[in-house]
Amino acid sequence: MKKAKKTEDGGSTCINMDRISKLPEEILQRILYFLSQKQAVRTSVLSKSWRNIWCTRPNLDFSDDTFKGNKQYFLSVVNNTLQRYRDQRLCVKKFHLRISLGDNTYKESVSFLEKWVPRFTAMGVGAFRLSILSKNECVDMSSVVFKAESLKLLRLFNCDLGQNTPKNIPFVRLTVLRLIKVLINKDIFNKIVWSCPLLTTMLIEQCRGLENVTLEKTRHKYLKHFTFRTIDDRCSVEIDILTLETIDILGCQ
Amino acid sequence: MAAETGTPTTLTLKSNDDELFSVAESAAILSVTIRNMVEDGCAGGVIPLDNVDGKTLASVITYMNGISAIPADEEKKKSYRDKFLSDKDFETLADMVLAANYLNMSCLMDAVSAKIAQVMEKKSVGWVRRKFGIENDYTPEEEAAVKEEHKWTFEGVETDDDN
Repeated sequence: MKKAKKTEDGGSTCINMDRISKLPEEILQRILYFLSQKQAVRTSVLSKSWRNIWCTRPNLDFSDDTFKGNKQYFLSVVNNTLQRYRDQRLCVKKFHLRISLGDNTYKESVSFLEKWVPRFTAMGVGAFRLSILSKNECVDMSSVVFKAESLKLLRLFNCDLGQNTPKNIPFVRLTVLRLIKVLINKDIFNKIVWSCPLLTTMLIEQCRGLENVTLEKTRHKYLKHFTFRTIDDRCSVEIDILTLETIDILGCQ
Repeated sequence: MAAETGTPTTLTLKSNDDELFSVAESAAILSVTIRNMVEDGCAGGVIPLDNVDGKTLASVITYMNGISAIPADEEKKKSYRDKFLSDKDFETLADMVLAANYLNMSCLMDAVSAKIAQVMEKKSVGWVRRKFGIENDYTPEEEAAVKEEHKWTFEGVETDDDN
């Protein structure tokens, strides 16, 4: 927290009676909804009455960078949390998962992802934001990504989507697609973007195998922001969309 | 019910300490509780709001009028909410969130909840306890066990300082 906040929040002024703990649980739940995962879980230490309030939070938000490189611990915390939500039949409305692959645990990470992602539909996840960043190898993520029916945001870095494409891609809710250094060909790319009618933001950067991109207004009625960057001068982009607000194209025709 | 004569309908709301407030129906129906009463035809006389005191109700009505005067522009509405809540202390926020819950006004409930969350975010357990006057009723052993269970949430820079 910045120092400037100190005087503003007034760390010295405190509320004497414990009014917050006496608020109805539905309100406390709502407050926790707006906290980060870390801060929400930490409220369990405040007092006994706070012990389990976070446990039924309808949104989950996990990022491995809050685990300081301890990937095993991150995987087990996410796995246990999801298992508990499943066992208790709790609803997860929003789920945000950010994971980097690159150390020697990447195979384990992928197999956890393969296990988790298909379950989300059954768990009622309405908005799923998934970011996968592969640091070293270009990892095949089709076994994970194409199972994610409730995807709202997909961000992939250094992944391979060129294999095992299913007949139907379930991205009807996808609004933000960011592909960076992804191995993907034109047919699969088209199949993906044609399956997301609600797309508002698309970023394609240094993707291999993708030489030309054609976007038509009939298929992308809501697209507002389009970015395409490449260092391959054989690439071409053709756009026929009136709703676009920002276009950023670099290094191609 | 909304009259079809074209003149704006005014409702009278009564707080639990018997203060009366006039408010345009179009603003008051931001509250689903009030809207249901209006739709059920129960709003002819005075609408008693048994769970809201006069001070809080006055504030909620200011909000109702302010937000309903803004056309459908989510960004402008958000900045109005931010400004409206910016000078409120926790006592007032707690009254407002209870009122918003009772009146079933999700936009106000969310705005106040988010504001309280903003105060708690990135703060240590000790800071939050002191700020909100939360009494720690764990024994040291129990507290250590809960901390151990969620130890990843304590790996960071937060300390028990007031920042």
